[in-house]
Amino acid sequence: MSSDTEYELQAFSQSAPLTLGVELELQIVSGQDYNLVGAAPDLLREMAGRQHPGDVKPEITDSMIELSTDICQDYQDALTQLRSIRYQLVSQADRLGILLSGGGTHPFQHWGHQAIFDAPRFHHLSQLYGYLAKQFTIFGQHVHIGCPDPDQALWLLHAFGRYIPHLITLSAASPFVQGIDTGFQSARLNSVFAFPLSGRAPFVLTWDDFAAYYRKMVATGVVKSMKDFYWDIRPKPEFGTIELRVMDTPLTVERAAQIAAYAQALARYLLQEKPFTPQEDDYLVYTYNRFQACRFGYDGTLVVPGSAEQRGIRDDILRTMAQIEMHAYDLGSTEALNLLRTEVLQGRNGASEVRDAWAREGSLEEVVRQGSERWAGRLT
Amino acid sequence: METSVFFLPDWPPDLSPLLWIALAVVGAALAGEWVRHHLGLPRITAYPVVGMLAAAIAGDRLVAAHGDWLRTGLDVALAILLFEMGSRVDLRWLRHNRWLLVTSLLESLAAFGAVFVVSRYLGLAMAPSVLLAAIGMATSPAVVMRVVAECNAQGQVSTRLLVLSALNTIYAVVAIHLATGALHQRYSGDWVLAIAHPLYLLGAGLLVGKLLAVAVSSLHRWLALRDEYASIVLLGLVLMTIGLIEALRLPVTLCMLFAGIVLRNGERRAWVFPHHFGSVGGVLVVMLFLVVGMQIKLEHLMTGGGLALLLIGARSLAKLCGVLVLARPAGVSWRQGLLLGLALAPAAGPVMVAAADLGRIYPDLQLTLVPVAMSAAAIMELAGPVIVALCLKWSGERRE
Repeated sequence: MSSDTEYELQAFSQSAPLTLGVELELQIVSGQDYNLVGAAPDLLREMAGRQHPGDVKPEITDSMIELSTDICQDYQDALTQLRSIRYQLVSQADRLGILLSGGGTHPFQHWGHQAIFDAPRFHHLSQLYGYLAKQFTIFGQHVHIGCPDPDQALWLLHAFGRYIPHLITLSAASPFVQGIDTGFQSARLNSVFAFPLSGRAPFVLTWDDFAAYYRKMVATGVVKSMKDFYWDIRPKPEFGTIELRVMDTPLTVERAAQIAAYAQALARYLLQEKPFTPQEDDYLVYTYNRFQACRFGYDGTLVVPGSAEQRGIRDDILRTMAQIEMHAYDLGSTEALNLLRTEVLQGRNGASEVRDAWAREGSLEEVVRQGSERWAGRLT
Repeated sequence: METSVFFLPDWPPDLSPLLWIALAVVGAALAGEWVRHHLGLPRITAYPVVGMLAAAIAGDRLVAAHGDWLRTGLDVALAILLFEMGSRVDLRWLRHNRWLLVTSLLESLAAFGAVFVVSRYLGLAMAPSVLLAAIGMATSPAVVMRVVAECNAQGQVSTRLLVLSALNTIYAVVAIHLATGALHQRYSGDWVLAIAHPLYLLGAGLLVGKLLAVAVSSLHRWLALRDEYASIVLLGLVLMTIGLIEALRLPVTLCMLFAGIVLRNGERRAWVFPHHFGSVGGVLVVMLFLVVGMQIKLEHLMTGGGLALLLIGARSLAKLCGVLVLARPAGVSWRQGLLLGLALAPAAGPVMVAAADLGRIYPDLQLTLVPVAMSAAAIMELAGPVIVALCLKWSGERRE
């Protein structure tokens, strides 16, 4: 039972360094009115017994579903797995007359209409958080990166902090909420920030210190397991990974694989070159930078941690891409990096594509329909 | 003395039938709220019952005095309903899920066969048996649409229920006209007439449907049809179409379903039926069910009773089996298949009207076909909405 308290932190599992795992939360949309529809039980029933890599799981509301890859070695592996799972999911959705879509939010769904998936953990969350749980009908991409040992995992976690705006900007795909253009590129993260245990992990760099922190939190009764932390990046001891959680689900699996590849190359650069040492003070500008990325995307401005230098987010991403280029080459993800770089230079991401579709079509239903076609790989 | 107060009405005042009908409407609406609040059933379950009671108390003059006026109102209500239902049929889904299409053919054929066999077994002649069987294929679009709309149901059972009902209504109307063609041949011996009649109905029906669909979709391009005021434009278009349908002597059912289907599938763009317009139709539906109820007489329930019950039972079982056999290949669970099969039970009102018309044209049928059909329809008009409502409730797709 997930509501039982785990008093001790699990031991950090062994995982091959720099391996990848990708999780995507998907929207299940009605083919009738293009609103979210609670068809997760139907989709899961029809997926049962079908051959595909990875896994497909329920999420907190009936209109969400989560797919995850097995452990991936590199970009190509992740892309192949994601495409294969998508193919099975889309075929079953076609049979059921429902649509699947990427994107961090559904543009016009009303959270009050969502039903909680019938499982004890989700009912518990719904009881605890009230309407927040239903407002949590948002869709994110999580990327796991394998770490050789727990201390390196914590080091990497805090080093990644300054690149959070990059990951937000590259994946941002949630400009509309409840039928309104929020002006944000990723409005999804605003829903995450409402949770009391969201934000960043405490600044500790050894696993023993982290375990001590965990014990103290459990003793307060506020948390019962690692799952109760909604941090932007959190360690995942049972996998031996750190989990990057700030991304919106991109509009395509291809973009999702590219972003995973970017994170992997970045991790290799950080671990091998150790270009800086993470400091507690890096977090002084953390929430400001994150806000800038959510609100303005490429046009946002971030403050480089440890200095007073202001830099455009687009500029910062391009500089970083130049720094990690060799690592991307060694990991076999040059193609991913090049595709991403083109998008950055053109100032394009999921949010701009959703806004373009809205400007072109003038109907959010049509935006959703095109989104589902794009997700299925039928729209070029 | 009596003539001195000239401006006062005579005593007792002469109350027009319109007033009684209005009273029945208010009564039905209140009964609907009561049923919803206390029994948790959709409002429309109460309307036919109130209609039946009102007719029993007030007698035939209620409907007779305002027959034309009511008929037009009902045609509009039905037309809007069928238009919306047609626009729920996604042909792409049928292409992706062939088993759904096969399910539709199977359950309709099974219902046809069951009704035909039972009628023949009970000694009905060939022609009325075929007609009855054709009528038996259709699930009432009005009941299904309204119950689904009122329950705000969404899911595999309710969506498939809408699609299967739209399809079996189309089969039924076509079959009835083919049967009518056969009857023409039998009664007049003219082959050309018998073949040309159904062809004309289908071809012209599609054409009129296409016209309405094109008009609406080109309006949709530059007018926000989601607006309340745009409902007036839509209503006008539907009225014009009904006028055209009547002038061409076509079935409203077929034309409006085709219009909806063409509208939905004619272009790739997302089409969502304007909510306000659905509400306009929804209000008219109170009248529809009320008047249908008024036509039910207690003797209807009695006369054809036994045969009618047997027919209903065989038909419902046939539809259930047709759906259940293909439930898993078509992508629903056994439980969903069971509920979907049961929810297909309500018999179609408009098709029943067609039967009544035929009875008028061919008096021979008056004695055999009409009492049984009326009786079966009466029972299903009362029971149908309750069955669909319960099936949707058990499927967990109600979202009120």
